Amino acid sequence: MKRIVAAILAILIFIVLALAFVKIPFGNINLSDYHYYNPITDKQTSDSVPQHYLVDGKKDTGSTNIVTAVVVDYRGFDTLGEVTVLFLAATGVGSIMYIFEKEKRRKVRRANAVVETASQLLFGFIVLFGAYIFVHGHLTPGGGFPGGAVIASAFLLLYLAYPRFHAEHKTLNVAESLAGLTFVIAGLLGLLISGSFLYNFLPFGVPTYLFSAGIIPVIYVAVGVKVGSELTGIVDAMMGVRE
Amino acid sequence: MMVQPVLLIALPLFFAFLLPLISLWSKKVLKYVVMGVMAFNAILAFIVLIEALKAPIFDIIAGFQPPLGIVLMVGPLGAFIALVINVAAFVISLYSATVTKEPLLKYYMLSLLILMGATGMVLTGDLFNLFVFLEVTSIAAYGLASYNKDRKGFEGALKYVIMGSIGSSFVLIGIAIIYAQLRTLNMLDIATRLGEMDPYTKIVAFVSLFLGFGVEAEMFPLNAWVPETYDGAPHPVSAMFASMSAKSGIFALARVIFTIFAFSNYLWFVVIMGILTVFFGEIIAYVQKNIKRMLAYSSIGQMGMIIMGLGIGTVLSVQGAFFQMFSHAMGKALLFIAAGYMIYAAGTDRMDKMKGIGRNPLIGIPLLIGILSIMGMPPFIGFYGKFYILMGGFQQGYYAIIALFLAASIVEVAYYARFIKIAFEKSERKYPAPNIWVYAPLIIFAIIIVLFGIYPKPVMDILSHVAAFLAGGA
Repeated sequence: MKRIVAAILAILIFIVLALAFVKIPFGNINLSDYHYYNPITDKQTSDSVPQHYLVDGKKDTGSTNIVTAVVVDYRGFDTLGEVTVLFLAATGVGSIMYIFEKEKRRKVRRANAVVETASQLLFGFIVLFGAYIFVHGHLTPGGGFPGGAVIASAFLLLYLAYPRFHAEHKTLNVAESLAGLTFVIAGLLGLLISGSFLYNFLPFGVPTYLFSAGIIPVIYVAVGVKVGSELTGIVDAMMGVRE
Repeated sequence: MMVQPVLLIALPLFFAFLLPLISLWSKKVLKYVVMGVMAFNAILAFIVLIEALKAPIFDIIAGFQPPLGIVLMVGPLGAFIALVINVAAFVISLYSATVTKEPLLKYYMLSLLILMGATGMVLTGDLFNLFVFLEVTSIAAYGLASYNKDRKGFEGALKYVIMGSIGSSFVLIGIAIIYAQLRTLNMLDIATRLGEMDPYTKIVAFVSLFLGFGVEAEMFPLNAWVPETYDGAPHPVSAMFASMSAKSGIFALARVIFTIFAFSNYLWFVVIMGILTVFFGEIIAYVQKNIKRMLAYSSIGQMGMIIMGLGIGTVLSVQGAFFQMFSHAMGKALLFIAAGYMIYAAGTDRMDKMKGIGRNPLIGIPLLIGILSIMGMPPFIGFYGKFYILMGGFQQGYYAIIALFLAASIVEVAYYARFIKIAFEKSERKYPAPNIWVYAPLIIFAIIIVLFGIYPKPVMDILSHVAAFLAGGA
């Protein structure tokens, strides 16, 4: 009975939402009709927000990757919030999985030689690839979040190959804190220099070069380090104490 | 001096990231650092409020004009609620000094971040940014709810996680619908161009946002998580939920109703949800034997009154709703702190085992003030909220709603009176004396309740901006 009610409810919600989404045009039909209203200057403009991002994104931010331009610059404050969400998740897991001294240790077995050798070979390359993804975030597809996740996957491989492996918690926490502080301080410097939090105060340089796009690479490196250390910390906390 | 509202968000975040580094140096200073940050934040919030009273503040983030970038939109009401949240956070942080369970570092980080999230929800002028801060607030709340790491805590936190995630998903769907149609996320931009939306999608978007924020605002029937979560959480955390996350949720609801969708008349849908919430909360609170569950259900009832006040939608009733947010944030935080002490002192959470616990004046007097204020007795702040909501209803002639509201208030008076009788009964039993971290926050809250109860003019001056808020301003 419970299941039938749940199924009916789910179908109902689906129908209601589907009816709403069929009325929405996707793509760029009538893009010229869109205009936006600026509440501060109280003016209407004949531009649309997505169109502005696509046309003027490179000029406004210096980033050739428009997704990065939106994520780190136009809506950088949201990204700071999302970084905080991940930080919270890691903190919450750390709090729930907190290990008391007396808790018993879990016995684990060694992995086989193939996994151990392969992980030694691959670890460096995976970390390098992760770093590449976030360092080039403003130039090519990628950025801090996927780059950090790739780095964390390298550590996951170590946990797989060496079940007794323990990431140093203090180091992880310090890396995480410093990366978070870098992001906030970059924002505060923008506030100090130009009166606007997270303002891109560094010179843009020439787009398509590694050192371009102002503070975007700085922030993406911080995000990459942060995401990498946080995900590693979450994995470590969930593995518990092993011997 | 000009203080930019973004500092209210950046400062707790900065210190939340800094705390692990401080803890490497000394673990003992953590609680003083957190208290100091929260006190400083409350002072900043006060300065922001003074500036917002002159004219609404638009704080542009990253230097892009809205709607291209994110903007914080701080009107007098938003600044007022931000101040309430920050003051409550500071006073509760004093009581947090009684928490001894490890890992304290995580506890203080989470409590700074829940403050950051709740403040951000109140200050932001961007719909997606509101969602991000909703996530920050609720995920910090999940972590804090399960902090005790016992059965009750996990049960409550798990229920909260499930309900909260469903609510967040609904918010996200609502935002997606609005963005797909209007291609903008700025609240005022959405409000001016709402007419371009298809009427059916508009209703679906409104209902999604309303239900989504309703979870955080403890609205019936989305509040099944409330009693377990409040009961299972550490005592300071229950106070935080009542005075911080619930308040930011209800303010987000007010933003959705008035700023984005610009309803400025009677909203039967919202009023009915409100009155159902009131009845659900108050009647179940009446039969509770566990003190924290009783307070949790009473909190649901009070939030229902606020939702009702918003739904009636006249200037008077919305003023009442905002006053009620203030009085509930102060009064319920006081009661949860008192309840925390009483559970500790009596060794149980059953009310019938707490005979004579209020006879110690340090506990008894603030407790009495808090209860009378929540009941809505005249010399305390709780009176004005209820009174203005009722007056708003009277003005429009909704007598049936007023009758129901009063009936629920009588139930509320009944169960609180029963508790007063137990707490002040003569008893042989000796209870341990409270330490300063318990009675100092109680006394601060009691002073606020009495002070603004006798002299409500400053608050009423701020709330005189409600008319502009209803007209779709900041």
